[in-house]
Amino acid sequence: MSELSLSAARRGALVKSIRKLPLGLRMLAIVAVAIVAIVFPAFEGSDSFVMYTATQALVYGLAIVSLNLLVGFGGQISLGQAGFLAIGGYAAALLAIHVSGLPIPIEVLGAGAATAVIGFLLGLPTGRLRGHYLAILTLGFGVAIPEIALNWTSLTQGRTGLTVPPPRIGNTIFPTPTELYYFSLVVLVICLVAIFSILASSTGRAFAAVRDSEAAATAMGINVTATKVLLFTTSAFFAGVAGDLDAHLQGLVSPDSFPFSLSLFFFAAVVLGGLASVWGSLAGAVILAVIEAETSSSSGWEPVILGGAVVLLLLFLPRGLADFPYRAQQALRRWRGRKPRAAVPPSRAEVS
Amino acid sequence: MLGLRGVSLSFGGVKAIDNLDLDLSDGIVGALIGANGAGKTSVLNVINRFYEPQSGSVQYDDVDILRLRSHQVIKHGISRSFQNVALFNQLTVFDNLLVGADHISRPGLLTNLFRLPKARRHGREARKRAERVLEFLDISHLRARRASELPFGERKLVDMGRALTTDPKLLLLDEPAAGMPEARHESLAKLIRQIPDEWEASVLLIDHSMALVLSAASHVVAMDFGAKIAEGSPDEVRSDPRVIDAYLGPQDAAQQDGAQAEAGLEG
Ligand SMILES: Nc1ncnc2c1ncn2[C@@H]1O[C@H](COP(=O)(O)OP(=O)(O)OP(=O)(O)O)[C@@H](O)[C@H]1O
Ligand SMILES: [Mg+2]
Repeated sequence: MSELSLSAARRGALVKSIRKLPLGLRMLAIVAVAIVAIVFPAFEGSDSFVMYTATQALVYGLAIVSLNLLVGFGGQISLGQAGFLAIGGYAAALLAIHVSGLPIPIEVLGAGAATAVIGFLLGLPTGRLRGHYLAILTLGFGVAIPEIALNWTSLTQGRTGLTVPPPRIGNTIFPTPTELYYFSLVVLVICLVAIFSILASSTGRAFAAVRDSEAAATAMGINVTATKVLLFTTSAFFAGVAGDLDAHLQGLVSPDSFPFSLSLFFFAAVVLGGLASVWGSLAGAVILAVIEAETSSSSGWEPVILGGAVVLLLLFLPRGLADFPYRAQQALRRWRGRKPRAAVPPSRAEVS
Repeated sequence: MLGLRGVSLSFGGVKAIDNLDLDLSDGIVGALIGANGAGKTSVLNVINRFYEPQSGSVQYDDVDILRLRSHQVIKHGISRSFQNVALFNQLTVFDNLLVGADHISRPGLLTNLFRLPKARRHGREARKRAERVLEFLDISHLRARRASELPFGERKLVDMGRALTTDPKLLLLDEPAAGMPEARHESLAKLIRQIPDEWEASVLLIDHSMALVLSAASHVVAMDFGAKIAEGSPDEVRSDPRVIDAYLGPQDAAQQDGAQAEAGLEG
């Protein structure tokens, strides 16, 4: 027991709470982001590189949120999230190639479901494996998947990879960068609604309970192992959907599409954005996609710049990007000469 | 009705529980007292299956508790609080209570995702229970606070509240008064006394504050070095020579007879 509560305390220290703006301001910010996301192609639609980068940000957004489910909301760890994207990507490609006329919603669900099965299997040992051991297990998974893809040539065409046809509904296909952007945006929004719905329910509470105290969660009747397995399954599902989107964006899935470094970038983006913050993860995704686009010619600099960004950001915003609006608001209040409101109301005097 | 028979538990050479028999009738507040390290918390950990005793049996009504896995214990109506407080730190007080209430029905992930009627019913029922607990413990003003922000005494209350939202038949409370100013012990004792009637649950209370135990419990069991050394009404146990020995040491026990209640038998 003492071991349990110790590790819970350590986790508690890691998962710093995200301080939120008042509801009204948050709603305003969400509406603003939504408008920008919707009208963006009207201004940049002619520049296919910009559209590609924007779509990549959406895809990464889903991937990073799926990882944050695991790390920030569930207190688990995965250093192999790109492995899930690979499975989703290959599943999407195989479905699109082999099942002619498959409607895109079915393909997306299929890619998610196939990945969820793998996530379930990977989650099974989490009842026994914690912390570093889980990190090593998932790291191994992330490294192994591209290797398997490389060698299982009858299914994957080895290094050549699989060409992915554009998304289609009935006889209509959506091949242009702007169409791919809106396709990814719609899928992302549906997934976010689903994720928020889960997080606000008893299932989401069970994830958080296991994260914060396994002992107390158990005493409250939560089957800790089953909850972790469910969490891995859920995270893998959304990562698989992200893999599906990525496959369509690239038009190709190959073993090189999902290097191990991508898993580390996702992890860095989760921390950068803020643990247990969906909006922070989306911001992290935009930064990751932009850094990737800016460094694509000078290859090799990407990890350095991303690593530097993480270090700098965490120095100034230890709670991640998600804390920025709050800090900005506080700074604004100070600048206007008003006393900032304390984040934590002072505790009552009688306290021991 | 809870019944432990011949329960023994040791860690390496340390005998935490030594051949313990313990009974708790329904509808009462019983207390378990003893010095530091006497084995009180270990008894709770055996009852809710965190510790596996080397021998003995634990029976609750018709259920053989030792056949259950720890997360199943609550299904049979046994809930607990933690001596060191194990709240869900990043969640609000209200969400902490909801997690307790969530065990009434566990809607599946898809039921929750699509907010099917079953999920909505569950949410309504859980919130109703959490509200009732907030009111009972008079902590409604804390509902939106993050658990990690609260001072220890209030965290203890929330911990107790979370155990109550599970709607238990037997509530195990491990030192609920720890960290609370002495002035609040009496109102806490009053709350605990109300639990059998208002919540239809019996209580097994552990506390070092003798005043709290005397005021809240109608039946007391005293332990020392893992074994039961006395049992009976609070007054009987308080004046039992073995209890006085265990708390104060044999030499000065005689003169200290009157002073002990005042000293609170603090371990
Ligand atoms: N997980 C454990 N591993 C090893 N020894 C333990 C463990 N839990 C309890 N013990 C030992 O068992 C004995 C009884 O401990 P327990 O915590 O049950 O005492 P307690 O009566 O609750 O004491 P306190 O009043 O200090 O809370 C002590 O000697 C303690 O060191
Ligand atoms: Mg104890």
